[in-house]
Amino acid sequence: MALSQAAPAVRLGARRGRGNLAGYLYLAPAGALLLAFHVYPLFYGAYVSLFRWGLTKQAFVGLSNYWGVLHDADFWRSLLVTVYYVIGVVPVEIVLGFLIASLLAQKIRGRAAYRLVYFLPYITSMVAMGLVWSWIFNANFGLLNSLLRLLHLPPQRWLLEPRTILALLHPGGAASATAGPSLALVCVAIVTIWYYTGFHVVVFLAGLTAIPTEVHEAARLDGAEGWRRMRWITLPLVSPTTFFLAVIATIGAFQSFAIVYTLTGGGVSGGAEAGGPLGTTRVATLFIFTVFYNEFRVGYATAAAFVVFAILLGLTGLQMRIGERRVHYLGG
Amino acid sequence: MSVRKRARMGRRELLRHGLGAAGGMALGGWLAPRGSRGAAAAEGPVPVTFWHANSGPLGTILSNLAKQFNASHPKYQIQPEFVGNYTALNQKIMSSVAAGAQPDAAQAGAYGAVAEYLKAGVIVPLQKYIDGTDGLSRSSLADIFPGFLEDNTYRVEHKATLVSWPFNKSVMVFYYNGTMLKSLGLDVPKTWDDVVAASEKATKAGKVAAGMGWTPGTEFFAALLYQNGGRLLSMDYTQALFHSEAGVRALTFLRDLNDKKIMYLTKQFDWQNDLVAQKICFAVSTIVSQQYIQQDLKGAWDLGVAPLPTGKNKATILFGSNGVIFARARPEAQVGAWTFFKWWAEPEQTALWSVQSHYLPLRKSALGTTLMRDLFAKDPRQRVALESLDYAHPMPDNVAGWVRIDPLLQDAITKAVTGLQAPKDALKEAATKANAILRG
Repeated sequence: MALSQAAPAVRLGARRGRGNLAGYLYLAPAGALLLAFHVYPLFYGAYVSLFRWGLTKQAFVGLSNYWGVLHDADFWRSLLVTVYYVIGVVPVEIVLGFLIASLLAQKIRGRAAYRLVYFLPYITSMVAMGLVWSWIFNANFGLLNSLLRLLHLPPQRWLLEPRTILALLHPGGAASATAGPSLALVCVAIVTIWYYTGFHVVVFLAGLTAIPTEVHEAARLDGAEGWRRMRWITLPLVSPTTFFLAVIATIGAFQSFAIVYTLTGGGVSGGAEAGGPLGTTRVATLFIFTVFYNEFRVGYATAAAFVVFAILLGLTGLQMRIGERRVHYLGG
Repeated sequence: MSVRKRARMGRRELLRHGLGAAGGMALGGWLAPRGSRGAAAAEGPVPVTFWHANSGPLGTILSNLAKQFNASHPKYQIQPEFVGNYTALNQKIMSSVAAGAQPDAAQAGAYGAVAEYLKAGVIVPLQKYIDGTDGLSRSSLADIFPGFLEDNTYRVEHKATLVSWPFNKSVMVFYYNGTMLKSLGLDVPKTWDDVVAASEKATKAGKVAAGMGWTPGTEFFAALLYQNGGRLLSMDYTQALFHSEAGVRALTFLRDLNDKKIMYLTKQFDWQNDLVAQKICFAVSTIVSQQYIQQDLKGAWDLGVAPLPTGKNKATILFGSNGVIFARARPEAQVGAWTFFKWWAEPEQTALWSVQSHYLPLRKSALGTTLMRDLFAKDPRQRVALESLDYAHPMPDNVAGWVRIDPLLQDAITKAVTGLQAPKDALKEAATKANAILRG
């Protein structure tokens, strides 16, 4: 950079131009894909959201779709369900991922096999996974209920149970979305955690092995052992990874669709039951999907998608600001 | 502008086709067979794409029938294409509309799909073909089971109009484990009281965990509602009526079945597995389910099919999907699609389809064909579905807004059956919301 600044202005321009051209050429394939499948749909979606748009474009309605979405109790309920889900899933995934990664970072026998086992769910077909978990959670003859019966506990209705956990512990409670997550949503969250923890483990393992051994050695020389080294060396130095995973997991959980859809009975007939029982697992993406494909309200659904997008953008911005203060980059 | 131009060109082309074919036939008759072949080959048959949702064996039967049509109608070539279940089919149609690349014709089986396609103007109401020169006579139309016509009739410019065409239709029936009933010395239940008594006996004998398994849905409730003398919506479709006395009785009955463990609730098609595994001995579903149940059963026990048990009245529900023709299709392809639909509903074809697929024949006169008579002689169970056609009601899919009402009603049913809300309150709450949708 310093060299080119010293060169004559004309040559600088030419060289930069040629360099840029090559750079753009390298970027072109990925750029074209991004433009075609991300940027263009984004702008087209923004356009669609301004119309009453059923199967086809009907009338320009300005921001009234957004107004409708912001006053739609069902939409807010789906957001609340999403928030329960994100809160239930993300911290557990990160803590579990970190703990398992810390164990797998030790020099133990069969380490590779363990790593494989924990990563396995992540590469399993979601449909196959949905089938197996549905069987485990089967309300009448499932594995979990057989276990409960063995322990002389009352069987549960799992994925079919709209009551909240609190209501189940204190019978007589009603299924109200504001009273907490339903048992069905908890089941979906458990499967999500089971599915994604392996991914967190692998990323944490990479983060842990990136911590230079001399830092640990220096701490050990200073007499720091066990928990103190974990607290003051490992956790701060792995924090960029934690931060990255927190952002990725939050966005991922917010956009979760396939797992909820498969587990709650999507795609059977009208698909009306996806998000059930009683809509207690209808996360925001499922709400959008249902309004779009089952109710044929394309413009409205697109507006809802943009509202979710805005919320997610704000949330990620917030995470970035908090992250800036808390994350330690080695040598940075 | 471009559409009009296209239409005019199409008509001209059509004329040419017609004249070509007529000329070809004349030549063929007078001169040599090669003449007619030459004319047809020059123009080639009009391809008509037809998207459908009949998987596996059903899709094969459909393709074979399409081949028959193509052989007997050299002017057209129907190209059936399986695109997934009804949900997937609807999604693909929606995407194709957005992309301006619809098929020429399709099944429309998702809730309220035809009403939405009609509203968006992406399909052609079929009434003009029915009334046209190559249409159907009044008597021929009357030969089609009335429920199938009602199911496809919409109000277009304040006139009752046939918009879509009955294609693969089925009806809700009652399945039972014949072997088990026999071993318990029980008759096939005819009323719901019989079902309750038989379920109790089978459960007490330790044969099953419960009598029935059921995945909550609006259709079974609707059947019980009609049996109790109620209706889902008013005749003019402006008001919800499912919260009437009859509705409350129907829903209370369902709740009691669950409370008394005569019936338990399942997810998706779990009841089907449970029936095969003899965890239950009864089930309520469409007549086409027997295809799948028999496949899993492999003859382990004797599957019985009976009309839906009755309450105060006899009533059952129609299922299945209807054919639509897209507005963007070339006119000659539209005519081709109509010719196919019309041919599909003729006695011989509809009988063949019914015998092979277990879907219902579309016409009364199909019952007189040797094909169907032989089937009834061999397997009297197949008659059952047809008997219930006289009192079968379609779901109000032809009402715009039903797509949003159906999930409301479904939630009300779930709430009542699982004891979260009294049947009366649950239905009333759903009806209030439904009325707002119907007014809007």
